[in-house]
Amino acid sequence: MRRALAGELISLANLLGRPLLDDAGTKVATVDDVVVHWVRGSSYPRVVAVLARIGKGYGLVGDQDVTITQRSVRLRTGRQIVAKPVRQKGYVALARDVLDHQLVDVAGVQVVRANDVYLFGGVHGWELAGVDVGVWAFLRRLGRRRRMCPPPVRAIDWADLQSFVPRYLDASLPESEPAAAAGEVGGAVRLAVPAGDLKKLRAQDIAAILAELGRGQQAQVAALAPASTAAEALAQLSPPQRQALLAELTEEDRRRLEGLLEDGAT
Amino acid sequence: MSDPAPLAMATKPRRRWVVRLLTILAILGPGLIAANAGNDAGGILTYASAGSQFGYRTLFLMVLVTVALVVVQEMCSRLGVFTGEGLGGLIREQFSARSTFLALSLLLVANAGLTVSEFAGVGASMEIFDMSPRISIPIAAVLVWGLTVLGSYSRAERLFLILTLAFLAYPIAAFLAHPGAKEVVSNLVWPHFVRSHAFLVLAVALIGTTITPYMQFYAASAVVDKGIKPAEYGGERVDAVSGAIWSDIISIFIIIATAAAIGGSGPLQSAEQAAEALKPAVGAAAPQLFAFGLLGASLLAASVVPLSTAYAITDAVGAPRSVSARLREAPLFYGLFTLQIVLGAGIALAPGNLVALAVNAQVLNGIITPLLLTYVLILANRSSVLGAARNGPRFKVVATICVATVGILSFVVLVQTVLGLH
Repeated sequence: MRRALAGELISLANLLGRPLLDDAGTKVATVDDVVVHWVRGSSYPRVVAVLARIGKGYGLVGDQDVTITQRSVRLRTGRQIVAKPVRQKGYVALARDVLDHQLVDVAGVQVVRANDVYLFGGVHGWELAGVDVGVWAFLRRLGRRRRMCPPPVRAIDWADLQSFVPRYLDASLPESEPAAAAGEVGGAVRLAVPAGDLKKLRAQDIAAILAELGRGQQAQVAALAPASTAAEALAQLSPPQRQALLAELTEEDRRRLEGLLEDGAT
Repeated sequence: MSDPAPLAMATKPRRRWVVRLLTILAILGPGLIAANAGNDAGGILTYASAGSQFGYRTLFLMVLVTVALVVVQEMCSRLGVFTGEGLGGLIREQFSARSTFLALSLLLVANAGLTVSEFAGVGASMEIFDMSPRISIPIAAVLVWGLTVLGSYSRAERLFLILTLAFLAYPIAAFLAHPGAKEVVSNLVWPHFVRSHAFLVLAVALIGTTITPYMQFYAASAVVDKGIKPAEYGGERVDAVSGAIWSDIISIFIIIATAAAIGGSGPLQSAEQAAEALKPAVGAAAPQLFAFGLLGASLLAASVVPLSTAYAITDAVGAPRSVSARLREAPLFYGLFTLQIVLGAGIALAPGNLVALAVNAQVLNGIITPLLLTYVLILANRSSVLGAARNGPRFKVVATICVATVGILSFVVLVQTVLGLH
C-alpha cells in the first residue's frame, strides 16, 4: 500500500464470519460484510457500516457504533443493530462487490481476482486500503482463520482502482460515480493502470507494504523483492523506519541494500 | 414528400426474418462445439462398448441423457450470456473459498480422468497400425505439449478436427448394417434396461461421457468469449439445444452401428473390434478409418481438455493465464497443463486394456458430474445471479430431476463398487 503510515491492517477474508459482540462480550450476530462509501475524489473509501447476520436476517450497524478488530466487531456501549440494510448511493459492500471479483485493466482485458481486501486504520477511522491478488492470498483462506492480519502477498493500492464497470455497458450509469455499478453480477473493478504493470509490484507498493508489516515480515519482503526495487522502496520510508528494517535483515542483504541506497543517493 | 411508412411496412417482415436468421448463424457455434466435445476418444469407445455389450438396450437411456444434456447445456450457456462470466469465475464469486476449491478440485480430477482416456484413445488407435502404446503415447504427449506451449497449435487443431470427420461414417454404417428397425425404435421409446451392475456402471459411463464437466465449463466460457449479449440469447439457445441434440444423435448412431455389427459380444476389448461397426460403410478400410478418427479425436481433446482445466482454475484463483505467455510468466497455468499431460499419459501407459481404461475414466466423470451440476443448478436458480433469466418453476423442477437422477445413479455405482456389491 502506498501509504507509509503506522497502523494496523485488517484482512476482510479473515474478518468475515467473526462474531459481532455486544458491549458485554456476548455474541449477538456474525460479521457478514463491511460497507465503504466510495465517491469521486476519495482514494481510500471510508468504512461506513458493518453488515451483520442475525439468524436468517441481516442488520446494519454504523461504523461509529462499533470497534473493529481482526478477531471481532464489538458494539460500543448502549449501541444496537437497528438499521435494515439498504444499499445507498456510493456504497460498496466489500465481500459482495469486491472480494473474489475480477479486476480488469483500462483496456478491459481480464486480469486478476481480488483474493483478499485490506482495511487500514486511518485518522478518521477504518479505510479501504487495497486488494490482494496473490494466489497464496486465496489458498490461505482454505485453512484456519488467523488471529492477526496475514501479510499481503501481491497487493494493489485502492487508489489505483478507477471505478466499477458493468459487464455490459449501461448508459444509465453515471461515469462520475465510481461505485455506480457496484453489486452487478459479472461486473468488475477497473484498474487505472495497464495490465502489464501488474506483473510486478512497484517500489511504492513495496514501501507501503513494508510500512504496515511486522519487522520480521518486513525483512522477508525486502529480501524477496528485486534488490533495486527494494532499495527504491526503502528510500521512501522514514529514516527511523528504514534503520529499524535494515537492522532485521541478514548481513548480506543489509550490505546489498545499503550499497544500492547509497548509489541512489549519489 | 412521400410517406416512408408503407415501404417500411412492406419490407419489415422479410427483414426481420433475414436479420433473425443472420443473427442465429452469426452466433451458432459455441453450443454445437461444446456438446460435440462429448464425442471424444473416451466417448466413442464408451458408446461402442455400450453397443457391443448391451446391443440396443442403452438407447432409451441415451434419449433421457439427451434431455439432461439439453437442460444442462442451456443453463450453462444462459449463465455465460447473462453474467458475462465463465463457470469458474461465477463459482468463485458466488460460493465460499472452500466450495470453490472443492469445485475446482473435482474439475481437475474429472478432466485428468478425461485426459487419461484421450491418451488411451491414442494408444488404442495406433495399435491398429501395429504401434505399441509405449511408443505412441509418449510421442503424443510430447507432441500435444510442444504444439500447445510452443504456439503452433491452431494448424494442428484443424488437422485433428478433419481427422474426426471419419466418425461421420457411423450414421451411414448404422443404416447400411440393416439393424432391425422395429427393435431400434422399440429400444428408443421404451426402456429395455438390464438389472446388473455392469449395466449400471455403463449407464454412469454414458452419462459421464455425454454430460462432461468440461463441456459445461466450455459452453459458458465460449459464449463469453464470443461476446454474445443477453439480447441475442434466443439464437444462442437454439445453438445450445440443437448442438446437444445433434451430438447425441451421432452417439446413438455409434451405439446402433456397433450393436448391429458386434452386439452381444460382451465388453469392447479393442479399437479394432469397435472399427468392425464401420465395415458396412467403408468395407476393408474400416480399421484404418476408425483409427484416424480416434487419433484425431484423442489428440484434439488431449490438448483442449487440459488447457480448459488450466484456464478455469487460473481464472478462478486470479493467476496469469495465456498460451501466449512465457512459462515463467504463467507458472500455475503451464504447471497445471503439464501436470495433466504427464498424469494422463503416465496412467494410460500402465499395462492393461486401453479401451477398459477409457471407459473407466468416463465412469469417474459420471460420478463427479452430478456434484458439479449441483453448482450449475444453484447458480441458474439464483435471481441474484441471473435476475429475470433465472430458472423458471417448471425448468427448475426438470433440471432438479435431471441432476438428482444422475446423482442417485452415480451414488449407487460408487457404493456398489466400494462395497463390492456386484
